[in-house]
Amino acid sequence: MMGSTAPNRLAVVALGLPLLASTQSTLAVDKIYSPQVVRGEWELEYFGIRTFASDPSNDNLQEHEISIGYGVTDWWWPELYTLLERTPDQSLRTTGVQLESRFQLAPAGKYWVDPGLLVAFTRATHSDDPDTLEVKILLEKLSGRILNRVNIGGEQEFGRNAHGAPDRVILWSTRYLLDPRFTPGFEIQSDFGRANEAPTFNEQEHYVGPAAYGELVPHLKYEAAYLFGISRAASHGALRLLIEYEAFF
Amino acid sequence: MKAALVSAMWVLVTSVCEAAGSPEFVVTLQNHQFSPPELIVPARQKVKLIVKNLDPTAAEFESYELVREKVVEGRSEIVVYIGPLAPGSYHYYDDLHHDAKGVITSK
Repeated sequence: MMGSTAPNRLAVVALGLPLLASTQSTLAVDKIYSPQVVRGEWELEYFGIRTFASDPSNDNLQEHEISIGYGVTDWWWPELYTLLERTPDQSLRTTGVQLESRFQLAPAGKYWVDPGLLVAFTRATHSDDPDTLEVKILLEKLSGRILNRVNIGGEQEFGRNAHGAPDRVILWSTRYLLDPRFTPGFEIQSDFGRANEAPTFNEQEHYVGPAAYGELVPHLKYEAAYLFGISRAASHGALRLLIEYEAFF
Repeated sequence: MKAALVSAMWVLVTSVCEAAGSPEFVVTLQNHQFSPPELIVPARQKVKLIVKNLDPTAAEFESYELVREKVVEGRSEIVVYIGPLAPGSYHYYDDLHHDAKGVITSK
């Protein structure tokens, strides 16, 4: 099936939809990406976040993403998302469509660290919301049974109601390769805010907490983390969950 | 933040310095069986592994312990960089045909 051109054609069609892309993220917590890309693999994914806080304005914020991605080449992985969000003053609603491209910049293991790049354009579905462009450097390093991933980047709003400078984030994941079904680890996720606003630590959003990753059955993977807010702007906690199904055609 | 970005760029720049002289090893896949079933490689050294798929159908070289996942089309080959590895055994398999398994032993 790998020799079939049908998946490639479908991928090209998906890539022809870039201008339909995406939404803005109101939460600091995000997926932590690997730079590795698997050519010929399809992926159907759900990603969700829910916050917990005593302050109603920070409690039960939700983001949900449903996406489909495909490894077009050994180095290019486009993915199309539908984004939904729940805020205290609004019920769950679709907020945008996102087209993301992940680029593997070198063969895994060839260099001291595996580098990648992520570029994501989000088109807001509501006219009052700005569109966004997100760029991240993706790094991965395996040391024995310890796997570290770091994503460093920013997100720039543009269009109506856009703010000035990009929002800057650093996301860190460390995991111990214990068992394919259960890989324990921890994550640090920091949103430093916009450079032009020079927010203090407590005005930034910083989270840290335990995480687990694994493959429940062949081709069905999960990630789960409960992150504790350690700055005042952060919620008391945030739960994030990812379920992905991989397939080859 | 600026320091973090500079650090990231430094890591990227230094990563461009490829380790030279990595020894090469070959594993073949035929009739959905890896050969040799156990490959001995030097410990604490980066290794260039060439995976040759002699079958007409595609396979996916995958290893949880090595964090590698790469498709090898039918009647073609791929390069997989692994290590430096601590002494021990590292399992891999064909994710499209789970009966095909192998082990890399680092000594």
